[in-house]
Amino acid sequence: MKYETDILLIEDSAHDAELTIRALKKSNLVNTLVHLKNGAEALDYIFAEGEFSDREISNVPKVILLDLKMPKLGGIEVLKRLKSDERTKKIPVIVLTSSKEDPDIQICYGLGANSYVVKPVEFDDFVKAVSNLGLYWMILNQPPV
Amino acid sequence: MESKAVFESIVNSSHDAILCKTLDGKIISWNPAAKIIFDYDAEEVLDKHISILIPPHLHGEEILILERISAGEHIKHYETERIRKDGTSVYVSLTISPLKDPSGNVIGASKIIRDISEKKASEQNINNFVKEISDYKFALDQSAIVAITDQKGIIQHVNDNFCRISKYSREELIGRDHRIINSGHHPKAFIKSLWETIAGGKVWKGELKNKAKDGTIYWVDTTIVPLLNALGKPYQYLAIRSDITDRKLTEEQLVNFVKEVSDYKFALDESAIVAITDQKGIIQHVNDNFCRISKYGREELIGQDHRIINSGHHPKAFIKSLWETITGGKVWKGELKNKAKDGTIYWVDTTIVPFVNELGKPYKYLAIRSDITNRKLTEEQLVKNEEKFRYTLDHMLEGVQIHDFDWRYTYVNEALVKDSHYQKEELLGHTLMDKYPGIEKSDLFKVLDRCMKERVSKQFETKFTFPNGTVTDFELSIQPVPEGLFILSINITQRKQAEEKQKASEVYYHSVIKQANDMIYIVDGSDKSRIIDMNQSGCELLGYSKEEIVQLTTYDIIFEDDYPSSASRIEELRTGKAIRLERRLKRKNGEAIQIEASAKKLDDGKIMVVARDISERKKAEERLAASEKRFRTLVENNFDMISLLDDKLKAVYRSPSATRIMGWTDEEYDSLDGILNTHPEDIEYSLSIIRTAKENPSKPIPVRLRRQHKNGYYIWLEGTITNLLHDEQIKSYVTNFRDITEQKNAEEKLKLSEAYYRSIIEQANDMIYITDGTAMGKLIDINPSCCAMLGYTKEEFLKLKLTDLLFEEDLKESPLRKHEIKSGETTRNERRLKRKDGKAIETESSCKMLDDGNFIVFAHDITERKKNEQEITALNENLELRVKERTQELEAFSYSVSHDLRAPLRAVNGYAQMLREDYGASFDGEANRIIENIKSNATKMGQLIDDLLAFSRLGRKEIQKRDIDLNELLEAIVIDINKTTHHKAAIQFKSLHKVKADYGLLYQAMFNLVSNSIKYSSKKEHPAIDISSKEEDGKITISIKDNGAGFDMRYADKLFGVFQRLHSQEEFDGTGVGLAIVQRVIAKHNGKVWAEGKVNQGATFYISLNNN
Repeated sequence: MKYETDILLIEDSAHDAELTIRALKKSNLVNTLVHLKNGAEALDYIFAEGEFSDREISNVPKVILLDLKMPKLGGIEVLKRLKSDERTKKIPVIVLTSSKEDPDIQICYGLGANSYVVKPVEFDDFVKAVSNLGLYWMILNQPPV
Repeated sequence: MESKAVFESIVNSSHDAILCKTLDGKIISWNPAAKIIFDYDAEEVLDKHISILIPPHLHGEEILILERISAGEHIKHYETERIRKDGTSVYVSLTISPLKDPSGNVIGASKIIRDISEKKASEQNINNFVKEISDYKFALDQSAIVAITDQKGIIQHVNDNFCRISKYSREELIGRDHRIINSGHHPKAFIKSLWETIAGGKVWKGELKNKAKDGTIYWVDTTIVPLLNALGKPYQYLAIRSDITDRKLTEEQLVNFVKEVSDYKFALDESAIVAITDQKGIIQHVNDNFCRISKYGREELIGQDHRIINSGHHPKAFIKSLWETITGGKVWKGELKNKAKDGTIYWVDTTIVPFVNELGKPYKYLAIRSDITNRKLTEEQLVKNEEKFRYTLDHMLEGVQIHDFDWRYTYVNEALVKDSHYQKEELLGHTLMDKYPGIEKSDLFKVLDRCMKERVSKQFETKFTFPNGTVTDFELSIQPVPEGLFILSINITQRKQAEEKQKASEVYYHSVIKQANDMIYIVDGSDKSRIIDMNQSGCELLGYSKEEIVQLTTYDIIFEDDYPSSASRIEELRTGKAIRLERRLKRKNGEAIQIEASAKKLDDGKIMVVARDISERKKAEERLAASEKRFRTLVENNFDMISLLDDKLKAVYRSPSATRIMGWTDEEYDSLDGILNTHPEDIEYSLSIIRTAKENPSKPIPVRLRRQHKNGYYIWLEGTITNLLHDEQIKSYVTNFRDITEQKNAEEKLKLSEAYYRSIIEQANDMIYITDGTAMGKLIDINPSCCAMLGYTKEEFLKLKLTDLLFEEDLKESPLRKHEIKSGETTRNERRLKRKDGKAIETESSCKMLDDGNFIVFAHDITERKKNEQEITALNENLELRVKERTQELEAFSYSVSHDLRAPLRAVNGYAQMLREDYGASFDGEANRIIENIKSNATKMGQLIDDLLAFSRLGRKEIQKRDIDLNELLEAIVIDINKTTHHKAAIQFKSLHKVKADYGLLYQAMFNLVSNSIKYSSKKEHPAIDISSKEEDGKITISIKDNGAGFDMRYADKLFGVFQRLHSQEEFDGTGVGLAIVQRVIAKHNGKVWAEGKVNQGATFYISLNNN
């Protein structure tokens, strides 16, 4: 199984995921998007373990969109793992959050998150925010390979 | 022949005329150039004599030329004049060579003629020019002063005039610096500008002041021409001067003259009163003095008739003569009385000068006046005085006669007429000798004559025998006066007679007075009371000689302090009363002597005083009185009660204090038995004391007993009784008592209060102990509480010292504050006290120094309180921790709420959007409206959550104040608002203050207020928001004013509540949290926020912040 990934979306809310994907689609950014529904699954995928042990680990996603509030393994845990592993620490991680007042944002920056985006209630704004981010990281920012 | 052809072509083409002539002058050849020069064709001249080309006055010349040619000579470049065909002359240069035949004989001449007219003409021009130049030079040299210097100013050439005026010889000048004639008159800047001009190649013109060799000064009008080299640089300067010394001097004189004239004018204006009128008397000019004296303003005078200052004093004839004088062109001088504006009169000494025109007619009058008002007034006064004087003379009691120099009576008054034995008319105009024949031989007349001739005054008494033989005594006073001699005569016949009578009696009295032992003296009746006589006894008493004493007045022999009384006594004497008096007299050496005197006015008005020296008697009396007084004063002012008792114990004297202390009057005392009013308990004691005193004469026996006051109560007395019965002077017991009731009472009270306080101390729950004032702090008293608390018995305790009660380590940390205590302060401490068993008691204590220097300490056990305090602190710390935990919980909760509430909203909104995007086309309008409503409500709810979170967050946030420039803050806010909000409001603010606040919070509050204003004014055509600030009482008040929808002041209190809104969602969108946030932010800053508004007339929001 080939897992070519441009964008890895880690999001437990199916609704939010759908909205995010739709927003990215509008910007034609979702050729190869993988959606994972919790932290544990995400780590398995990234490190090619468990369910994804047949994945080629060197095939890293160009950008990871990471929701912070997830059951079991939260976004912060995931981020910690990603940024402490030589193989994955250079992958740009964009944190998704419900509020810009979220105290975890500072923690995320401290852990090496590259950016964050507030998921607005207003869908148009949401689309705009996600598109901008996706565009920036997908097109403008060359991954440091 | 070939060469001939060549030759001919040369000849024909030559520019010079070439011709040949025979020796007899016949022209034989003529080339084209000859035709050009002379205008003759060849045919016209060939075979003609050469003389047709020669002007008549030069014919001789040709002959000479031909002679020289014949001799074989060549003539080269001979310049001469020839004439053309038209007769005009042409200057030519001739080169003539002999023509020879082959045998060498001269047969003719070849002539080359070159036209040199032009050359000649230019030569002529040059000659003319040179001549002209030299003419100029001559003229210049004759008329001007000329010098040439090189570019450095060194003189290279001077002409005679230069030498003449500068008085230097040419040799002395050439080669010298031009400054040799510098006068030093011109300022440096002037000279500098001169040099700059000429060094710059420009001509300089000006007037210079120079100095000749002999030092005299001369002025020259100077033109300096720089002579320029090819490069345009001056290499020489030509100075042409003309002497203007005379003109300059005249100018200077003129200036001086003008100055002098203006000085005169100034002086005149300063000193005199000046006016100018036209020929009709209309004032054209007045100076300040005129205005001052006339009290008119200049404006009031100019253009007015001069009569404005007319006083009306002078008769018409006087004025007429004045006008006649000046209209006749003559100067008028005189004194005029004028009237000032306020009606006051002034006199002026006036000179009026008419200015006359060519016809000799005055066209102007200049009036120069000087103020002589004072003199005039004096004169007027004088005349009045004279009248008064004459009146006085007429009515004098003394006879007055005035004689002229011929002894003619010119004035006599009534009194004189009465004494003269003549009528007034018989005297006036007649001489003294007429009326009193033979008088000129008398001694009297000799005196009068001397007074008349030597102009001296004299005063004497004389007897005058009238022609009828009667003799009258006169006192005469003679005075020379301008008219002659003034004689004042007083008839003193009666006085003389009285004097004679007196003399006789005086002789008698004199001898009596002389012999008397008492001092007798006589003073005259005048105010001065001059001493006329004093007998020997008097003189000796006062220490003066007789001669000295008669020079003195009464006031010389009495003391100044006695003047007033003395004067009043003299008044009394004048009434004729005889008086007796005692007074001090002043001896010559200044000592005082006391006299007793009687005085009386004598018949002649003099006063006789008979006096006796009573000094010794007086002194003795005074000494006695003084000693008595001292004693009495001592006794009577004594607080002590002093009494003298005779041997039967009856009082012979009581000091006034006896009544004061005991209340009994002297009379009442006398009726009392001394023993009876003694306190019954003290009677026995009292008697024993008296016995003791009796047995011990002269020894003061101390006594302390009670006696009854008149009002019934007993007085404590303390004192002594001394037996002085044996003393001849006193013969009594002397008792001396003092009222000690107060003292006794105080002692009693003290005893009581001591007992009272002791019981308080003994009963007190607080520990009380006293230490002595020594460094060691020995414990000298202690209360039972203290013993109980510390576990000592009182006896044990009193062996201790203060340091035994304290812990050494505590003393290090907070030492005893003895110094403060000694300065009278009460110190308060928290200190541990050491119990006997070594345990500590926490106390709060205060310490104070007592009057006796000991220290008292009150200590209160606060062990319990300390324990409580610690508990409270622990509780507080715990509480803070709990609050912190709670806060964290709350934050986590808020976050959850925000996150979890927003997620479903996002879904609602997102799916609604999807629905619209994907199926919108197939829905009808109503379906789309519903979708929109879903979306907008979801959005709204998201906003509510955000706002609410922000609001609740404010409650937790610690504020961190810093200086904030409101201008910068608002700029940032406006930029942010413009990014997110489309609006058309004009937002104005400038020069706002700085405030101290939390930046983030204030930003939020101001952002909300400005957004609010924008929102509520958005429906106006021209929304305007003005933001301003002011400082007052250390508070900054910021106001945000809009012209929007405003609000009803009745609901002003609802503005700042959470979710409180004064407008519907349809009118103005909003969550009702924005102003609540503002309120909370400002409250956190301890500030105030309020608003004012009117419906549809805008609102103003105010924030007031403490600026510290």
